[in-house]
Amino acid sequence: MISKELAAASSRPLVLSILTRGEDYGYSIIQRVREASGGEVEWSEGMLYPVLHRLEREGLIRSNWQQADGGRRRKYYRLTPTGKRSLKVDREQWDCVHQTLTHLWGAQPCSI
Amino acid sequence: MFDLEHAIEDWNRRFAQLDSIRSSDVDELEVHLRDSIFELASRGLTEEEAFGVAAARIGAAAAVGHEFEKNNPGYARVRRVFHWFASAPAFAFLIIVGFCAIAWMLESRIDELERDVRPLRAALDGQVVLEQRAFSPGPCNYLLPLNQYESFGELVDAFDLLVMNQYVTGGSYGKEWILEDSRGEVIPPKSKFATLHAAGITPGTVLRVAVVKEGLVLPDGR
Repeated sequence: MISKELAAASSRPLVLSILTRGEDYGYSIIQRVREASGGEVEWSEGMLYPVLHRLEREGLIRSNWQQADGGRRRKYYRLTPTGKRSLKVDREQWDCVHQTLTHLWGAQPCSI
Repeated sequence: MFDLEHAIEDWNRRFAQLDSIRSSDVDELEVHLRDSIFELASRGLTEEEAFGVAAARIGAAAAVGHEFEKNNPGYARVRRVFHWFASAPAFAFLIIVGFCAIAWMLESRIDELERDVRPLRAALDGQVVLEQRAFSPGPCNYLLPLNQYESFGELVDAFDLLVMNQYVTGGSYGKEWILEDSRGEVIPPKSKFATLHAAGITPGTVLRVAVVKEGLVLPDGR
């Protein structure tokens, strides 16, 4: 399982990446991160919401409350054009870090 | 007997009382909690177990509140100040006592001023001689040409204000004026009325006011 610090640092590109597939709500975002990482990326679930709200204040995502099928109201988040551009920059930077580490360590199959 | 709705209400209340979390944030967290409980219960956990696990996954209210505050510190500060005022009747009481104390001090000061002013006012009402040598056209000049006053009282009021500025408070308007006693000697600015009184300026003393603003042409050629 990755450290708390790395989980916090990667929360922004992870959330933005998930929202490229369409709008989603907090609980579902966490499930998808868990699935995508094979359970290696585990957030303290309550911590996701301050991250979502900060991304919204920065104009990277937008939210609105919607009535779900089961009658429960949920707050859905979707990516804005600014968010898409920001994710592109994030991706370049993470790729750069990834390539640097791969170069230093030698190519290995990903254990996650 | 475990009551899920009651447990969720208690849980909700713990989050709602935090300064850093809005009520809409608590609603959002509660939806998350319910989703999580529903999923855990569908895997065979009892309601009580599902609630315990779901609440633990979200995290303790204080820790989550701390994260919210880190992300939006301004909101938490404003709420904290608001709650502090709203929940501190003793503080409100102190404010009232403070205002009363200030009012009492001001009133004492006014009484003191009144005592100081009275001798000179008596002099003004009595035999003060106002000698106008010039007048300033500027907005700081309280004293108009003598013939523009409808009554002696009106002139005395203007003079009173002027003297208050110069000889008691030391206000900047006073720079343009000089108060002289009957021998033509200048009474120093910022003199206390008590001092004037002690110097023999009593009812009946003849005083003169001279305008000495720079650049003015004085009628008598000074």
